[in-house]
Amino acid sequence: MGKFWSVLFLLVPVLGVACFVVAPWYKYWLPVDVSQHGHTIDHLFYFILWLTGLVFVVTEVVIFWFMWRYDSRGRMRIGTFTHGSHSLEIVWTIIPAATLLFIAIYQMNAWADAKIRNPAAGPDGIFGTADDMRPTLEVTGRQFEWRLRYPGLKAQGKLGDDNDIHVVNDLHLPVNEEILIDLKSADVLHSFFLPNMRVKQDAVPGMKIPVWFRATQTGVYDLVCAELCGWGHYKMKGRLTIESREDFDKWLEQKYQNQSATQDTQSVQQEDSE
Amino acid sequence: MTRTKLFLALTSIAALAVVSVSGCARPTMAGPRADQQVALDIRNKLKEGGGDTAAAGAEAAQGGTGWGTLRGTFKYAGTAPTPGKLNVDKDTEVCGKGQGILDNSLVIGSDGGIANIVLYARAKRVHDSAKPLPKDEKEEPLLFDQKGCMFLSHVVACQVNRPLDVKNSDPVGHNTKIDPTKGAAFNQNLPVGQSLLYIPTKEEAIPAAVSCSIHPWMKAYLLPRNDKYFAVTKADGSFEIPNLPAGEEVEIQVWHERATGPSGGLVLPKKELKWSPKGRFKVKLEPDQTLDLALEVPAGAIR
Amino acid sequence: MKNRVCRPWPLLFGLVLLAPAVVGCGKYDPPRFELNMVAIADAQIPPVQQQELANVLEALYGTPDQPFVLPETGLDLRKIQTAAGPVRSDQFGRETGLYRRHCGHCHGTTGDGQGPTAMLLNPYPRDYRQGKFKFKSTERAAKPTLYDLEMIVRQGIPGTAMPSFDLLPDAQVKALVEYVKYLSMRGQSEIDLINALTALGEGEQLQPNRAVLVDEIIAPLAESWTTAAEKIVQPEPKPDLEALASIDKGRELFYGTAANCVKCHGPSALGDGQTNDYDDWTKPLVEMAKRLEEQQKSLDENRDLPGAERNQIESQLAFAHKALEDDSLPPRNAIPRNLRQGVYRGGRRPLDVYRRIYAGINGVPMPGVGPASPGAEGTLTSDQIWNLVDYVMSLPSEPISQPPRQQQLRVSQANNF
Repeated sequence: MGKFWSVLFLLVPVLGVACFVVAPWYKYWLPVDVSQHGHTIDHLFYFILWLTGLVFVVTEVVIFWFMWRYDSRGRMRIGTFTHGSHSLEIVWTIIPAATLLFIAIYQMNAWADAKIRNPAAGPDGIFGTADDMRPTLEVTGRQFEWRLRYPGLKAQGKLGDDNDIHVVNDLHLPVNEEILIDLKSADVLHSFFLPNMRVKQDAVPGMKIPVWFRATQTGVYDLVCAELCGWGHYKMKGRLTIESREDFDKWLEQKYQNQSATQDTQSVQQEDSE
Repeated sequence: MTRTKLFLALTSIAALAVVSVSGCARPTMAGPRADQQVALDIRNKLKEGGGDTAAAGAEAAQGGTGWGTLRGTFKYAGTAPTPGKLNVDKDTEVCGKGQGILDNSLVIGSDGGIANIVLYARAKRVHDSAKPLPKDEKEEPLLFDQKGCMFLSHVVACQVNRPLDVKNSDPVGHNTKIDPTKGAAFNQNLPVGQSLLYIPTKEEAIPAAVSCSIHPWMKAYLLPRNDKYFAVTKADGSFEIPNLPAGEEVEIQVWHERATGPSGGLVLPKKELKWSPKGRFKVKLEPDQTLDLALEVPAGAIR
Repeated sequence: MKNRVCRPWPLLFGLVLLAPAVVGCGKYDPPRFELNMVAIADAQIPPVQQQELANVLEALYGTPDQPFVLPETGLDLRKIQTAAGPVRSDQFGRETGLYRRHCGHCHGTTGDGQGPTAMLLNPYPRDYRQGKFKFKSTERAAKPTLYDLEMIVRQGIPGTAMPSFDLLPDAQVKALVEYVKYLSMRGQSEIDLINALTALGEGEQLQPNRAVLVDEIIAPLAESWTTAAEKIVQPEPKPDLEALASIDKGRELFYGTAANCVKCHGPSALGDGQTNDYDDWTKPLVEMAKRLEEQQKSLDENRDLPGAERNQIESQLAFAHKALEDDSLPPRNAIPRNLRQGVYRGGRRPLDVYRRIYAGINGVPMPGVGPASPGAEGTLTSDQIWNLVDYVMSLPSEPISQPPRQQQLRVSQANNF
């Protein structure tokens, strides 16, 4: 009976690995990456997955082997106890520390690209120039929706006047352009999550946090909240539409026209009188 | 030892059971549950287009001839309470001229007469002089003025389709908000010196509140009725409803802003008038009779 | 072998796990429409008539799980059935129970604006039962068009807890709108029935026949909804005036005695002018509470009342207090909008703001300045309303600490007023 338990333990690494092998067939794998920097994030993810996966499998197999080899049944010898080995401890401290340090240095560039090298900061990265990049839009998380504010068409990217275009939940962005978003929260912590852009950033009340990325493919993708923000967290589902510059401008123009309407459009009246 | 553990376990089971049965909802009063069978019967009858409408027609047939007059006075029994001051916190130079405004929800004259009690009748026969007003006829508008941040007429009863000339005689702007339950709601901005027409389109069962949002202490009541069988007591507490149908029982609703009955119904301990808990009494007049009622209002009937 | 005698733990653990299965989560009680107990208590409807009311309402409108409508209501039962009932989807992914899924937790099963999350919100969710809606394109006293309700569902109401449901399929939004109309008609029919019960004379009974229920209650109500589209406020074209000139004129009006905006929205337009009024949903509650208090006082003073009568009044008062406590949320004042935030609850199109000013906002103190009914006279002209629209919409981008000179002048005048 004793060996039964060791076999049961062996199932842990076997099933664990099997889950990962089978997952893509069930579409439980990373969503399509349509961003420019996404591959570096994915690369880091795979790198760490392989590293930890390897260590996991080796550790589990060693545990299995010890249980199998030193099964108590039929063994009369009592185990010996020691106070440990100093050199062994040094080894198993230094190896993980070195690995972590390597990961920390290895990912630095990816992190800096995603969170520090703000494209609005100008080419030298510190002092902006006169023709700074202006944010494409401002996103405000609110219980429980995403309020989006685009600069007016004639405002040259300047936000905060009468020309602003207001949209809810329906995020449209041009393809192949550097997108800069001012992320805000109106009430509590939210997290602005675009899985297909490999972008996830907490929105913090009282802060304006820049988020940037570049989409490489047109299409319709998800926008969700990745921070439990209250009872209606599940309602904070938006839609991201990546489209060509012409389509985007057309859409924005349409939104602006709707928003500055001083008369009902014909179609609305018809619908009403039905 | 084992017994204690067993006890603990059983208690936790009991606690779990209590929570799962009771839930943790906010207590609400939901009212009685519908009787499904009765509801279904009513529904089927409605679907069939069935309706015992014949009963309503039979009722109108009975009744007498001739007309009578009902008049009387309402007197307050006991010492009249002194009216308090209203909370005037705006435009104080105009509103009350710095003196404040007295609460006029209960106005009792020096002789004990209670003003602003409304009486209105439900009669089956209607005299020519009391007939409902046709819709499109141009009627003389009734003045409904405001001055000193008070509505000059505190309680108004009028006929449906009789226009109301809502006027602002103050040097400050007002708005007039009328909230009838059946007719159209009205809330219009009323600049200095201007006036607007309001035409009540539906009969109300109880007087509708009239207010001003800019000066929330301003209050009045408006009762539109189809026929002309209504009266508002004057400062001395007197009222008169002429030309009521004689020879039949006429039910008269009595209303006062501060009456304790349901929806402002004024309930008096008068058994001989069959005074109901809704604030209604019944009279049966002889032709050409003038019935004079001296009504005493006890302190408990008005709060 | 000795140890096997007492090991109660595995057994007990199993029992604890089994307990909910045995006891269950209480008997499954299908959700029900609750009666408007506050209105019932206010009108002092006796229990027998409450039962009649419940029966008639179920006959007319069914239950949350099995809704029913008469053809005279003009309601589309198929849409209502999609929105009603428990949250479910069939093998084709068609969803039903939309109302309970998206709306019920705030607006309540009955549409009374008292769902479980309602009391956490400010402002409270809308109570549909009065049949009054604030943000609509029609005249003040008219019902909203279905398109108006759809816009609210799609765009949400900024500044309140109402989120946008724009990404729901079109058919689902339409079904939800129909269900809101259904709940509103049910609630308003209930109020009408309570009024009809109050109007009954001594010894009379409510006749549940077509003449009373359909002709007097449902038909006029249905008509008010179907004719709403005829009462849409269509503004005159906006005058061709330079923006700044129009804003100046608007400012003049805002502080003047003709439009009187300053009285409620305050001299700085921060919504601090008139803050102690109530809206139409809250005012009756406040007045009822005040009435109960005064009635209690007069009962206490009136010592020579016979015991039986006293008991009756006391039980009536207790019932009313309980209704208020259980079936209404703590009253809050209606606060005029802070116009400097750039948050427009009923939509930010100039057209929307025009309609707010023209017709006022139904159910709240905000009065209208346009004609109250077609053919009547308004207090401001269409051009003047457009000026006000321009001024109000310029306020968010105007610095409050350094307002334009002429406004400083106006502020001092307004303060002296």
